[in-house]
Amino acid sequence: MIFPLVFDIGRASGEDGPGLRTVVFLKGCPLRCLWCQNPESQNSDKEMLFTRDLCIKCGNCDTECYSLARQTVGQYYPPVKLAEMILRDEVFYKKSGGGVTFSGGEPLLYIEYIRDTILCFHSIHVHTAIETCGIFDFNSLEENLLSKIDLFLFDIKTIDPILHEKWTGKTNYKIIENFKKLVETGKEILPRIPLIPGYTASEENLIQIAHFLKKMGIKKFELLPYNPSGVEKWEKIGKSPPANLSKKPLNQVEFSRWRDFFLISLESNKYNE
Amino acid sequence: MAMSPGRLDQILYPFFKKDVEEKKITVEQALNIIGCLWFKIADNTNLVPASAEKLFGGAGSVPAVTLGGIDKDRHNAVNDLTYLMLRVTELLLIKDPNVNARYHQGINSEMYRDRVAKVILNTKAVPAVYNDTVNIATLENQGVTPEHARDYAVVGCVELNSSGREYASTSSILFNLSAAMDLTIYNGKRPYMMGDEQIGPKTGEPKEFTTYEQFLDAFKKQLFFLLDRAIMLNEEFGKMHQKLLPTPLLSSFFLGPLDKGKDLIFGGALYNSSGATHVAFADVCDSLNAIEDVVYNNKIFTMEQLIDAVKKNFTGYENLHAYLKNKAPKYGMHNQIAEENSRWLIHILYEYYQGKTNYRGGKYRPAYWTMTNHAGLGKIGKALPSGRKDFELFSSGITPASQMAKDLTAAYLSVAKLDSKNIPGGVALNMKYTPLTDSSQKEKYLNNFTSMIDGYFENGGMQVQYNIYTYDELKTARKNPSAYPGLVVRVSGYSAYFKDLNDAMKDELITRTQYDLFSNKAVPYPGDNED
Repeated sequence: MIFPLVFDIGRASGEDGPGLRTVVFLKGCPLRCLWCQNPESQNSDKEMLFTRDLCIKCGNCDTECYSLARQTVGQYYPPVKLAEMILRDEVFYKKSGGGVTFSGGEPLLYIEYIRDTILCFHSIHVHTAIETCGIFDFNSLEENLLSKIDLFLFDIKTIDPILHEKWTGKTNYKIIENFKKLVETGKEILPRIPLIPGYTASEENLIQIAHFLKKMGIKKFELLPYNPSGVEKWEKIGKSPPANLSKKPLNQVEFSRWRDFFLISLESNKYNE
Repeated sequence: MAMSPGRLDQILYPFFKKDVEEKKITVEQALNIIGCLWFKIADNTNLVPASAEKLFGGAGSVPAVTLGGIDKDRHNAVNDLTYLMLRVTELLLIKDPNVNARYHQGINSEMYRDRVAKVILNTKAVPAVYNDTVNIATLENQGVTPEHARDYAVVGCVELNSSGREYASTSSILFNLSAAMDLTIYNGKRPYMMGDEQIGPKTGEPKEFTTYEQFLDAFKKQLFFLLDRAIMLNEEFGKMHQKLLPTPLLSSFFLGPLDKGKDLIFGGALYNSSGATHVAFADVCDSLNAIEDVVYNNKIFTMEQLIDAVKKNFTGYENLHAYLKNKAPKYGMHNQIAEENSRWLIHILYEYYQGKTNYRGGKYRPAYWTMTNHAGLGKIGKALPSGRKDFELFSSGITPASQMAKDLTAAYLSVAKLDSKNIPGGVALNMKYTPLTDSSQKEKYLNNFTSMIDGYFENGGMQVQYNIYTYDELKTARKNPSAYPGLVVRVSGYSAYFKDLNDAMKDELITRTQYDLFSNKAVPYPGDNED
């Protein structure tokens, strides 16, 4: 079994699935999305983050950095330990209808690790979700983990394989195939469409996605407004962000416009077919 | 101050019900009458000397009204008047009365809980919410009968009292815990205030302590030395009060004085406690955490270095200061060392006070609410081992130090972990949330809001109160006070108009940790540059 590095544990997040949820971020991703919000998650090895503004120039770089300017990202946790950390907020899951979400990177690179972690708390019911980019070994998922997952948050960036390769480094054939297979299992799936200005947030792209979801019989979906928090992080890991990546978050007005457009696209498909 | 009308929704309900049934009054008329009552209650402002205004700036007379909860027989006590009084509070948005909502999980409905939450979100400040389950158990542990404990109401800020039966004199002592920390560090002196004068006992130079336990022992001695004096002074005040100002009129409103033939001030009430509240709780906990972690466990810096750094306000000790701010355990971070120290401090204070009998024959009860004193006392207090620098504000009530607890659930769980039986005087936990901006997320926001209350209460939290403002909104209000005449904020147990507060208190409200209710993380403080 491959032990992944955990790069963050979000406590009681209200953003990745229903209710309040602990979100476990695992390091390593097959994609290289240009707009990646957590570029430090792409590599499956440890990563060094340097935040110049926090440095107090003490010169003691040979010991632990106290000012948080230099931080190592990625820590190993045995499944038992990870389960213990997840359960710290159990009372809040119960009250809000929440649970745990495994995110990344791509969590399904570590199917067995997630299975073992969930097994540590299988005696109490905790709602489980996976946030995936769609590239994973479907057979292994079906064999090891599928029955233990209540919800899949499935990223759909574009239907066009050529654009997909241009934006993420990989075509989406596997992603579409896995999406279809997952739909057939009858599991609850929530497609999530990131709205990235200059990339995915285009009328043509959203029409295609709407058409695809309609064909798949999917009714629920989530649009994710672009958040530029990744831009700074590229610099912190010593790389430069893509030149045309917006430094402004998608504002409420733009977001509502895209949401309305997407809803209309879903509706209009009805008449096309 | 703080003549509190108690559970008005219970007291007035039979009259309301009768008048509605006999068609003497409509609901609309009742709403108007309650509104007039609220204005009347808010009308009473005490005259205070200028020096007190500096410490208590913006406080009215803080008459507390308590709504909801359960009745003497453990039945749901929420009635139509509860909802009407919540509605009036929501409509008027005036600073007094100090409205408090009791909530008994499992007996009070979710509809009531959600209504309370919506009033808080609409007023951005009130009511404060109280956990019936643990508060009743806490009072019972003080010898209050179950029936009387279930009929508790809030007095003043957040103090728990069996309504009409208890003369609790809840702010008898207001104690600055950082003074005991100073005396320990400086071996019984407080050089920056009293020069070379030996104030407390000589408990030894901390640099010679070889174990953390030795430090704790010294701290405990200094703390109890100061508390002995505080209690002695309060007892003298009490005796003078008995001589000079008996209270026959007030005594007539309580159960007990007539039966016992005794004035309240001589112990006529059924229950006769005295309250002692504490300032700088989180700052002193974090100082203990820092000493245990830095000096004794990890041995990263010596006690001598730490004390020298504190004396010099961390000048020349930037690296140590960075460690204290970023790496040392903090109360509110759900950290084991921090939890042990906070529980220890709560426990020794409880044991100490419960061993003291007051001039009316009752016990002393420790509490953790601070009104505006944490801001005022912070402005005259020098640096602490927690990493708090000279004259920075102290933390409010039982709240973790501002900007220190990054995760909201961790903050709630750390506070809930304190043994409520050891805090019979009551607590003020101040939380600040980012207001909702996207109305399509309303349901999720409300669900997160109420789930936080439920989780915190189920784990043993006693009380929580809110400000629903961003850092920037309050900064703007500080800059243009005339544009925000009616902006009501929750201070640390009472509500006030923001414009009436002194500068230190305004700063404290602005810099209080603001949590985002979707990520449930602290929003980083953007800094003080306004222009």
